[in-house]
Amino acid sequence: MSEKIIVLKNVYAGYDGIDVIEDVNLEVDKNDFLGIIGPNGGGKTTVLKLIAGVMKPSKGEVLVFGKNPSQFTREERMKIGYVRQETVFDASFPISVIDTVVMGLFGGMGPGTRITKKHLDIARQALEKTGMQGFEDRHIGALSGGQKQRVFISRGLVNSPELLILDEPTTGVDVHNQAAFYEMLAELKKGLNLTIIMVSHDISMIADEVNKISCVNHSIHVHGEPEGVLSDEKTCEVCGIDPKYVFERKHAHKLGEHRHE
Amino acid sequence: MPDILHYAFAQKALVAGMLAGALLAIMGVYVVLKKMSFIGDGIAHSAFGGVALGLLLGVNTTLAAVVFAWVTAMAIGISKKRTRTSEDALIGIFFAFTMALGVIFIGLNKNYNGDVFGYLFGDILAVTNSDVYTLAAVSVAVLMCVYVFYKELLFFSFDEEGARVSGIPVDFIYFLLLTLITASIVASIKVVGIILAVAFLIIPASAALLLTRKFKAVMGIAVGISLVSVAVGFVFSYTLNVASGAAIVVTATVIFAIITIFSRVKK
Repeated sequence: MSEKIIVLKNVYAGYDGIDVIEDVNLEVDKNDFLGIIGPNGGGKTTVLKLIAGVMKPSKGEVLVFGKNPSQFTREERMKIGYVRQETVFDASFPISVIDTVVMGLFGGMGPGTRITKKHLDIARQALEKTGMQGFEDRHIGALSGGQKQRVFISRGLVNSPELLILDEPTTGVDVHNQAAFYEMLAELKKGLNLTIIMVSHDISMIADEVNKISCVNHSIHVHGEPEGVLSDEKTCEVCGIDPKYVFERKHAHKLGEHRHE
Repeated sequence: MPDILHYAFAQKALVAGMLAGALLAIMGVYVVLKKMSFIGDGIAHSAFGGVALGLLLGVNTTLAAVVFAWVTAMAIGISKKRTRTSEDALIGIFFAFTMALGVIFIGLNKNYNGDVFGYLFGDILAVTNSDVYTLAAVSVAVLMCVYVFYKELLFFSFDEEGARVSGIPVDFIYFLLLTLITASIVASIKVVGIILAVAFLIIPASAALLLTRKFKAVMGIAVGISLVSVAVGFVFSYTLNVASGAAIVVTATVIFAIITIFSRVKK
């Protein structure tokens, strides 16, 4: 049986006393590539924040690696890489690419310690993993959306985590580069033996890369393999998935069946 | 060298001004990058209530201002985390409340004299030895904290949520930053005044950010702009016989304007 690295049991959570998600149950196995979809304001990011330990549930239990993530020790935190939308960062902040990646090591270093060559070498290796070597000294604001996101993924990978959490990583990445971006993620997952959880709007893109999909709309309506989740029109309606996409997907499958015949 | 610098009181004033300028410029980098200018404003104005309370009770005004401003800063910080009211509204509320208390304390003070205006606008030439020592001690303490928590303050300023996930004690760093800003402002108000301390916190850092994209260089350039502003402003203040704090801040603003124009032309 696969090792369950994330378990959410009857979880309620929200902001200012108002729950955004209610009675959420979710299990993620080791080496899963989970895509979280759903309408805006449905609580996708809230689920990620709970798993990352940034937020506490108002009710229920969140277990990551068998423990409440808000009580993680410094070493346990290193097992999680957390990547947000690059658009939330101030592009004018005076910081270089290499310094942005090195930041990922700060939590494990402790106050009073200085950044050494060893830390910079680790950051360079993380940049190589996302194909961003050669950009070390560039200002973060001088990069394109896709390049910035690769830098932030490098930062997420700098501690060699077991779990990588990505919140809408292709916001700000132009359409032409999105496919290459998802391919890079799939390769990283394979090469680094990662478990990945990713919130995304690009249902058509992620359906081919992920092995599980959860639809979050105030609760988890469906959780399973992409084929099953995306073939049910009623589910798609609840989760805000464009029926046209479902139609196209079914149509494509039917065409495939005809070809086989 | 201007004649005035032959006098010991003037040398002391210049040293105090430069210490305050350098200290506020360094803290200003965090204030500007973390977009905390308004909270800096709120903290500085709350020091007015503290000074008025100190005068009313007959205790050390700087100490009273530190305690009063620090309590206000913590109250803003805690309210921000515990209530639904937005941070800028909270700052506005505490800002007005502490100023109002200051006015009431002045009204209650039978021995009221004009001292409080010295704190509002600053009087660099009235700086005492003890003011310089206090400022030097606060500068050393604040800079030591900035050195020790350099990485944590940098991560917090750039990406608060990412810092929290990485295990940085974000709440502690936030309150530490508020404390360092409070200490820097209150230690400097005798020199540049409550109202102008905030401008001094914002202008050099904002100007430096136009000139470089390297974090440590921003700090260095901000300190340089501060020191030049203090020196030039000091000479203007003496030559034109105008308030020193105002002369320093006007100089800093002119430098900021020149750098802004220069950086636009360069683009």
